[in-house]
Amino acid sequence: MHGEPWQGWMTASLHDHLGVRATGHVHSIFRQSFNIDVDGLLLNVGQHRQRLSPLGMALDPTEFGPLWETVAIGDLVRWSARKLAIYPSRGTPVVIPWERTATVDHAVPYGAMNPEILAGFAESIQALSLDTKIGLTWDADLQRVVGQLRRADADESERQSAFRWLLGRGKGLTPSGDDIVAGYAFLLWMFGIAVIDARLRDEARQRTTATSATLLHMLSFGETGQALFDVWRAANEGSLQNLDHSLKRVLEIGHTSGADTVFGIGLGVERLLGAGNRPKAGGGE
Amino acid sequence: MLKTVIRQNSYQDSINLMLLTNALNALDVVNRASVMMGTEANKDIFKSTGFYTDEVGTAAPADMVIVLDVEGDDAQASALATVDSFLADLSSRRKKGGTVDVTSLAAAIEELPDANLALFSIPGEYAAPEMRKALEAGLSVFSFTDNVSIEDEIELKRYAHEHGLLMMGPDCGTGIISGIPLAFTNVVRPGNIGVVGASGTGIQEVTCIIDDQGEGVIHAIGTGGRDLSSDVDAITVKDALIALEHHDPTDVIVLISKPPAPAVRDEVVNLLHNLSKPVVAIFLGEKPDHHEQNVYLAHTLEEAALIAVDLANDREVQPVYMPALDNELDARIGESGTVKGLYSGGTLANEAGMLISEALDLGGVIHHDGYVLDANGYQVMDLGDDMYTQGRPHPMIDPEIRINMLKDLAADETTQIILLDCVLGYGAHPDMAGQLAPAIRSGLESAKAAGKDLYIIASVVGTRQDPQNYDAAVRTLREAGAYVEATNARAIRLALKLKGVDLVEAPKQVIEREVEKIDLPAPSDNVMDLLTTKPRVVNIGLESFNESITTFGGASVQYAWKPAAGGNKELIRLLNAFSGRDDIAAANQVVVDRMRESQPFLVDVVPAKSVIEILNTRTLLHAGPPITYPEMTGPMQGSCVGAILFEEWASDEAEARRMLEAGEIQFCPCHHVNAVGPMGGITSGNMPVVVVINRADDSVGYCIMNEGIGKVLRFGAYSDEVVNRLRWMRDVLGPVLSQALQQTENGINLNVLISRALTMGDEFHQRNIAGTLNLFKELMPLIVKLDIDQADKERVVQFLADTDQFFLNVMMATGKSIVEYARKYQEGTVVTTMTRNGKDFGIRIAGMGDEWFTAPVNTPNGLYFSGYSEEDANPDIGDSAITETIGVGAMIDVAAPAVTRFVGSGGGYDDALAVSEEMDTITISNNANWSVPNWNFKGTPLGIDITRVVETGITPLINTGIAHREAGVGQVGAGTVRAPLACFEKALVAYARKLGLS
Repeated sequence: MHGEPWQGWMTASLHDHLGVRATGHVHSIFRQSFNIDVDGLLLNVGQHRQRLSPLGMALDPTEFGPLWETVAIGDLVRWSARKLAIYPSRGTPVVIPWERTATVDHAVPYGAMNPEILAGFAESIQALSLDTKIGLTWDADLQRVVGQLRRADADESERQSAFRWLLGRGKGLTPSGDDIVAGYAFLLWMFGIAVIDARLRDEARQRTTATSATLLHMLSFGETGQALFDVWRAANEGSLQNLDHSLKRVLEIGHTSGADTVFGIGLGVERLLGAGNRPKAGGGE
Repeated sequence: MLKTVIRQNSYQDSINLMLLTNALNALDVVNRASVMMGTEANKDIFKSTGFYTDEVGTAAPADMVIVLDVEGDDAQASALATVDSFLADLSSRRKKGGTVDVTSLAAAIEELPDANLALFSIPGEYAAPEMRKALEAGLSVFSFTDNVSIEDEIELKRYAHEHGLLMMGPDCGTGIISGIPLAFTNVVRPGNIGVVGASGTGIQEVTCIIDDQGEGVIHAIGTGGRDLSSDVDAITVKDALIALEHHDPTDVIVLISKPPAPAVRDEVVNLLHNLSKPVVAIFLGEKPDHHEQNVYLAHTLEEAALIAVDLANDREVQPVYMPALDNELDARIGESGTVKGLYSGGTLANEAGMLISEALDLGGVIHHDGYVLDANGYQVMDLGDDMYTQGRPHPMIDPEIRINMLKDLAADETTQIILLDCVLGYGAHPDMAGQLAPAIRSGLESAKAAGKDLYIIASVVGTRQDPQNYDAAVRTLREAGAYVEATNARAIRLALKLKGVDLVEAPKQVIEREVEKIDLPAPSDNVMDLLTTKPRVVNIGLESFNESITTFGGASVQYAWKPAAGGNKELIRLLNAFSGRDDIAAANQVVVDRMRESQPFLVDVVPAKSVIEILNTRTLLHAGPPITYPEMTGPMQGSCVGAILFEEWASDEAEARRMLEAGEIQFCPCHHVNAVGPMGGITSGNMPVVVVINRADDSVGYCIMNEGIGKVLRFGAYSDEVVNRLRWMRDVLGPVLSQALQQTENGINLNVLISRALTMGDEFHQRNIAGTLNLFKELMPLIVKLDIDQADKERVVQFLADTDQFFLNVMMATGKSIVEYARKYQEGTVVTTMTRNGKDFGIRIAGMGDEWFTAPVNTPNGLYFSGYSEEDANPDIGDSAITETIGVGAMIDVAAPAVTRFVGSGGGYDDALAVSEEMDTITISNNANWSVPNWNFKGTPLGIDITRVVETGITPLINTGIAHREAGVGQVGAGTVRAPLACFEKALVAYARKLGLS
């Protein structure tokens, strides 16, 4: 974090991704936050610094509450080098000077992780019995795709095919397939493999939800939300206990999103550990 | 045949009445109709439109005048049923509005204490003082109201400026404040553009284009069309620009102006250059060929909007903005074919006139008879011009005039292109496109049948958030055969293209400009509060304006305004003169305080002549203001006969009447000698009177005792039974009660008794049973102790037990003792006496001492005993209105709702409450000593103020018995009666004269 927390917090690289000047619109409104659409990327505005999205802002609850009550889908949002201004159709404009917004850096260093921690990942994830918790059905297609991702010797075209199959597959704001890709990309980024390239980012914008596309966009730069960032921190510290705890915290996200993400992390771990064909899985097999 | 119906004191705003007129004109049984308020201006319209009748001439400004051209009574009845139904519907819609209704600005502010804006849509002739009051109350003003003089506009704007307020208008049709559409306005997405506009439809066109481009407008501050004149000197434009400069969410400012005065334009443009934010300015009629630094000068409304959109997005401003037309037409019309514009929006008409004239070299825009262009057969009409809207709704509301003109122009040989606007948004017709479509379709068909090529080109001014469906409006017009363009400028370009002229704009470059640096003043806290919060609005006039306010997050309270003083301008002037007088307010407070701090005690019952000197002669007291015997109505004359027989001045009725007619008996109002008397109020020297002393200063009040019901003197009966009862009262009842009261140390404390009876359901005029019982409770232990004849004692007790209204007369003496104390302070506008003599209603006010102000008395409305009807009723009579004078009786019907039902003033509790609430609006204070449980323990209304009565037209309501108009018959019913307004008006004029205000 940099600067004095006063009115809120924001992703440190927000302007890198959304530009210094832009116009957006309120895209979606949830119970605790709302999303602003800027050219297909969603800036999530909430009120909890601890739940800051990979591309997000968190406002002081006293500021957020009245704003949340008056915004409506389609409302205009403008920002410039100096400020962010939200123009709720049923309220008065809220102007947030950037200078009063502290930054939160959730960028995971690329390729800087000690490979020895992989065993710790594998052990923790195996204990979670994720096969029965993920949001996709264990059918032949999923088995094929999983195989393609976890095999160290799979070629790139197979993996791209697997990604395409996964993107947008499943229910919810972040479909299960996207969460699996996200977990997979997160793990590999830490160990120096960039899974999500520009083409996959574009494909995500076409094939899945704007929320997922934003998540994958940010992950393509190694940027995460608080939960995955905590996983990185535990792994970086080499603390198996913290790693196990942080993975379990990820598991708590959404209905199956957490499980899907950790499942994806597990696939990345298996790929790096050079695992062969997947051992007999629980659930659908 | 013309039939005129005048509904007195029945105010409705002009738009409602225009719509009502339309509804009447649509009836088969009505040849034609016109409904307007009875103002002098409207009478002129009645004359000019052939609706004037003698009855119209008698109407007051607050009267609704309905003139019907109908055949027969049935047709008239049918039309009036439509009137009632229409007004009832307005009433029911009003109740669904969700805003609170009040009847004064003060009440509105009490209801909405943080109000920061007053929205006016009332007739211009009354508006300036009302707006001034709003400004003085610290509210900025948005005046949809037009027809305000330039002098008033200047004064109001100067006052607003000096006091840190915004004066938007007059004649400000459109505005957006913090995203809330006000008046006739579209629903535009909020965004980082702020607009200042001296043009209603100019603002609408620009903001709608901005919205269509995906951007938004946070404020559109209308200024009224004259703001940039040399007289007004752009007071509001400058204040608004400076406010937007300091409004952080506003990044781009747009200024829209009709052709300004050159010096004003220069000053404003220099101000624009001193702003830190980029500005787009359009001075309609100018054709700029460059931009000046951060001030971008537009030629058309569309160009202004598109430049603003680019600036709002931090995009570079383009040299030219000429978006492609939506319609590709290869056709060309011939040399003789002309263009006609039928516009509902004045600025849109101006834009059409300007562009067509520039393209075809027609000599420029004109302004006469509703035309903005009239050259070589090319005509553009502003159908919102006063010429077309006198006595009829604006063409944005009423399609009729355009439908008729479309028909005419379709048949016109040279007309080959018709331009139309279709304005959506709050205030506009709910389906103007649907209304115009059949006329468009039939016009095109008839032209085709006549072998003429006709093109109808329209633009729809609206957004997809408007209450009307923008896309449906466009579709409807297209399906009818019109070519629809997205903007007015493009519609005009398409029209010109059909004439073979491709309108092009020369590229504009940004040039440097020498700027005179000025120190920008800081906007006031009030103005910034207005621009940084959702407005809290006192809506004065059209109730429909509340809808957009509450829908978009603002708050509003409806001030159900009607012209003060029934629209009498001289009285309005006097009221305004009074309203600023602290000395009068202070004087009124003294009078009211005296009433409140009064300490009435019932101390004795004595022969009247023992305390009223004049009654030692052959004099009778009477109720009401002074009156002669011949002027008296039957009941009072009958009472006189009875009193003479009682006093044995004559031996029979004939002799008594002879004495009266011969002038042998003198008369004096009770009120002149500290007395009051019920009904006829006839009091002679030997009649016993109750004595009430106001211990606040020992003022005294006397009143004869209540005789019970049936044939009684006060209602004009004078039979032996009546006279004998009076003698018993003289010989037994009076002395017994006197002896009983002498046993008390100080008499009976009436404040305590009154307060207690109020909690038991008395209002002290029509219902006194609780007061009587409480008095009975006080007297009984005293009477039983008396060493008197047992038969006398029993008869006295029985009489008191039988006489429910016995306390009324005690209350009247109480009232007299209170007002006698109060009226010794002879300043102010508080009513100190109200009374009636069967001919006149008379009042006195503190500031005019003993002077009477009278007007013909009204006849009560009420319920009648079996066998009697209104025809039998005597006009209102009696001093008993002293009860209402001190704030009880009908003033406090809510304390005794059952009485409301009996006296026929409405029915249930709600009606009783409504009466008291209404009376509360014409009084200065409340008497906490007499609190009313049914009214949340609020005190009785205290201090009727003639200024409030005259201003509101609400006169005191009085509960009353109804006497038969013939002597001797007695009471035939009970009801309520209104004090006539005229006596209050006379008092106001007289007091104003005394103060040198006339």
